[in-house]
Amino acid sequence: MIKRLFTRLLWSVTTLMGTAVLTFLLINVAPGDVARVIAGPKASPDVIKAIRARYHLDEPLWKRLGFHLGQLARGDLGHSFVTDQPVSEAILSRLPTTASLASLAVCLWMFLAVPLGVYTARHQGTWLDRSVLVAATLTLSLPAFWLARMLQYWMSYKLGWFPVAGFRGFWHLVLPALTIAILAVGYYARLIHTNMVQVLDSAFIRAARARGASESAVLFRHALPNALIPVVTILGMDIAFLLGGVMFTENVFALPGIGTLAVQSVFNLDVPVIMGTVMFSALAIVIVNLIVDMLYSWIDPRVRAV
Amino acid sequence: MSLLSIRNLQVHFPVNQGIFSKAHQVVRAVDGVSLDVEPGETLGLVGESGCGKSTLGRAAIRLIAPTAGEIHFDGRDITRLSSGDLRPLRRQFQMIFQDPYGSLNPRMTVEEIIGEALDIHGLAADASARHGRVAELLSDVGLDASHANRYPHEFSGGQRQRIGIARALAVEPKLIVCDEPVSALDVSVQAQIVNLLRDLQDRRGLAYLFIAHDLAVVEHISRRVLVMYLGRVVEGGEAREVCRAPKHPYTQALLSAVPAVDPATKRSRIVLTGDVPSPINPPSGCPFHPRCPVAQARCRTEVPVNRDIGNRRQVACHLV
Amino acid sequence: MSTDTTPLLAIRDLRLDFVNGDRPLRALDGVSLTVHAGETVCLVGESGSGKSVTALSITRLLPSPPARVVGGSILLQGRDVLQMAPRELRSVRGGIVSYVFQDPSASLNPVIRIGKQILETLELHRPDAANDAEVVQLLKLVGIPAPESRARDYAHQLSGGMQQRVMIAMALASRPKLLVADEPTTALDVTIQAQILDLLRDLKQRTGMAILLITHNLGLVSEIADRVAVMYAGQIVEEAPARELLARPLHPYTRALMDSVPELGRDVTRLKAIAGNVPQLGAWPTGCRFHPRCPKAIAACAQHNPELSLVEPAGSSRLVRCPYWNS
Ligand SMILES: Nc1ncnc2c1ncn2[C@@H]1O[C@H](COP(=O)(O)OP(=O)(O)OP(=O)(O)O)[C@@H](O)[C@H]1O
Ligand SMILES: Nc1ncnc2c1ncn2[C@@H]1O[C@H](COP(=O)(O)OP(=O)(O)OP(=O)(O)O)[C@@H](O)[C@H]1O
Ligand code: SF4
Ligand SMILES: [Mg+2]
Ligand SMILES: [Mg+2]
Repeated sequence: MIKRLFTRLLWSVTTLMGTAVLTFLLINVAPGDVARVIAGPKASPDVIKAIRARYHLDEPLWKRLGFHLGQLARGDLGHSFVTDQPVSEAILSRLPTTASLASLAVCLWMFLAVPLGVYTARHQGTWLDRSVLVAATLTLSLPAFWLARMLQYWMSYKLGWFPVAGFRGFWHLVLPALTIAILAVGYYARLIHTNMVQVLDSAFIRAARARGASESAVLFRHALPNALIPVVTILGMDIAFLLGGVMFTENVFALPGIGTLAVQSVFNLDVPVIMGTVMFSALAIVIVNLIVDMLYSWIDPRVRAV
Repeated sequence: MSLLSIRNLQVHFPVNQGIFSKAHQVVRAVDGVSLDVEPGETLGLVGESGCGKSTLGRAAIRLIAPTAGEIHFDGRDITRLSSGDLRPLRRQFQMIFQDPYGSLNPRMTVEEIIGEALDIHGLAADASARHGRVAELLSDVGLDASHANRYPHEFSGGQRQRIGIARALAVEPKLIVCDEPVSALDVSVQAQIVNLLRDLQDRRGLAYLFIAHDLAVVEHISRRVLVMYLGRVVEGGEAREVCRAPKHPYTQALLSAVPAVDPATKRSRIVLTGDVPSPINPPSGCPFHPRCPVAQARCRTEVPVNRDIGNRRQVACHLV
Repeated sequence: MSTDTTPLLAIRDLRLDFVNGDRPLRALDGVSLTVHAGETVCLVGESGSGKSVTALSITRLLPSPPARVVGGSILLQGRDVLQMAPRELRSVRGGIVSYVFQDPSASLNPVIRIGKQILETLELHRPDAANDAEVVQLLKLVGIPAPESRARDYAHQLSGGMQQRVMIAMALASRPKLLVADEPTTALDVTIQAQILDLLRDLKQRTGMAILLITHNLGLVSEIADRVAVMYAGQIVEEAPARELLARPLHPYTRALMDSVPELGRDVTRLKAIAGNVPQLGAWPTGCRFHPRCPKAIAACAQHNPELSLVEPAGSSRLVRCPYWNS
């Protein structure tokens, strides 16, 4: 267990380092003079020079990389070129929005996917089973941007059930979360279905039935926990991905989340923010992975023994 | 001279262990086994699951690299031959497996399966010679020549085992390692395969290293048997003698545990307590001592050597 | 309702199909089997002969579809299982009939502690005794050392023999009248098999329950059975008290089977093999199912499938499905 944790941590640090170096190199070898962008088109050469000095743009690449990594190690992501706000502050201030959106979305889709997956596994070949299969295939290929626009148009403009955009409370989150959930629910329902079918066919399920366990005990106490074990990994990846910011959905609904921040920073060529959001995504993935790993050894005793 | 002669063979597998545990752990699957198979004879190998029978059988014909010890085949040291040098020798020793389903390629016809073995060793001059040889081999194992164009799934378990035997016979080996060849078969079909193996031995002078966990089958087919426990040989000798008067406490318990069909041959039961220990950390001293009903103090500390007790019997027990 | 003469289990002329696509495949064809209270009955037969299907049918554990009962009846303490409502069926499963299956490692839920799994059975059938003390008591009964700590283990932490002991403890938790053990020792080593057999015999003596033991190993029959039924291709071909059957098998299949298995210490140079192969489901021969492999078969055997009928060799009365058993 300790060894497992240790290798995982080592792996995490390596991943983060790699991400940091890679993003740094990618951005710094890209064409375009960053100083000119920061200063604006009408700036005088003096101003540009001053900016160069301030952001150490004159130094050789390897020195800047070292400086950059040192800063990262201290948790300093630098300041935004555009607003001069510390990048970490910008990200943290937007984290609650993104996190609430992500949690609501995950709750929504799991709330639907678990019963659907269980029911369709128990009643294979029924019309509901078949429709879930078709729906899963359809929603997988839906463009997120289009779906967000459609929901916004119908449910907000036309029917007026939800606020159109912005973030001033729970109701503003429902439509964006629904967008994400619709895209994911079919996939998860099928995933749970497949795992359930497999588990329901196993000897210990037959043994549980033979002891007189009720159908609900068989499904929810014996089968579901086993069927959810493989789902946890995939769910973890998806949550990490959501925390990194849902660009299209957040943008369509003008939610001040990390996704919007990332999109804005790209438009503005706001290098520290771009790097900051990338680093944050990497961090989210690494942390969620660690949590999933711990969770694994908690839910699956066979892993705990290793 | 022995056809196959093994001295002090060890096969250890590494276990993945933590970086914090300094000691490098290994599975001692085979831990110092010596045996001889004479030309044309059957040596039986019995023991419970995980005692290292398959590993020994595979290492004997260099399908697994041995960790230590020596293997001589037909007088030649093959312990450390390169796979290139081994290839021409391979046709002299073949193997048949427990699972006739898994060991035949489902996409190849019977003719292709057997023909492939002929081709590898260049044993068929042309297509018609190959075809004729396959037909011959099929009839040798009791199948019909018309079966040649069928696929493995069209056969029953016993018939598939016959195909596996025909494939092994194709290259005219001197030794066949049979790894539980009848364990997966229906009871009423087991006898067919056992009889077939004996007939082939009589006709062709084949030698078998016959692995099984069913003592009765081993006693029936082998002249001599070795009993294994946790990677070591604990007893050996003439099959009939070992089964009639076992000397090692483990062999005694093993034999007494076999349920007899005939109620007249009631054996007095020695029921062992406990489970077979792990070969990762085998017990000190005699590997059998934690379960042995007659173990004494020295059994816990001193490893009993495999002694010759005359009459071609060998036993590894302090009390014999 | 059940009097002393009512058998604990009476299967009458059970016929069962597996419906695969539109073609039903007959798996059981007129199986009749009786188990009395306290009796040990062995059901012997080769792979695919229908032993497990028979065992699972007793409490309707086969998934339907594909399984479909097309005839016969199953009376448990006089009540027809085939007519039972789901709730009644659940109280019978584990309550009157308990099961132990072949593969103990797969029959235990990998993510629930074994003590908890035993507790679940107690809650279902003996709620007043559903406590940790009783769980420990049951583990002790089946000979698990240090039962208090073992109860907190997961299945993978136990050896195969211990797992099977846990399965037996679980089966006994409800104090069943009938224990159905479907090849309980096939996956285990010989020395462990001997331990489990001893345990079953001992438990039977202490609890007085009946055992239906399913096996393909005739050796087990002489060890434990009071009565034996031999199955071949979905039918019982012979039934007799164990001692009589082993001493004098009457059906050609039983005889051939006994001759073909090598026995320790029996000096034969050549085994008497049974020719041919076990027929597959859906490809059963017409007439007597055994006739293509039977050394005694005559032309008539290919025409008529004989009935399981009472015959009387030398003072005993026996059930055999072969009119030529005496020739
Ligand atoms: N490739 C391998 N890596 C690690 N351990 C192995 C490997 N192959 C076998 N073992 C271990 O070596 C021991 C002996 O295995 P082996 O397959 O030889 O036993 P066996 O006597 O043939 O058993 P069975 O009757 O179950 O076939 C076992 O503990 C097994 O887990
Ligand atoms: N769910 C199922 N669907 C279709 N066919 C089945 C099903 N269960 C069993 N069968 C078939 O019914 C026949 C009898 O099977 P059964 O499991 O009773 O055999 P058995 O006598 O227990 O054999 P074994 O010794 O291999 O356990 C087999 O041919 C099997 O393939
Ligand atoms: S009826 Fe005929 S074929 Fe069937 S067992 Fe009897 S003799 Fe053999
Ligand atoms: Mg093996
Ligand atoms: Mg079965």
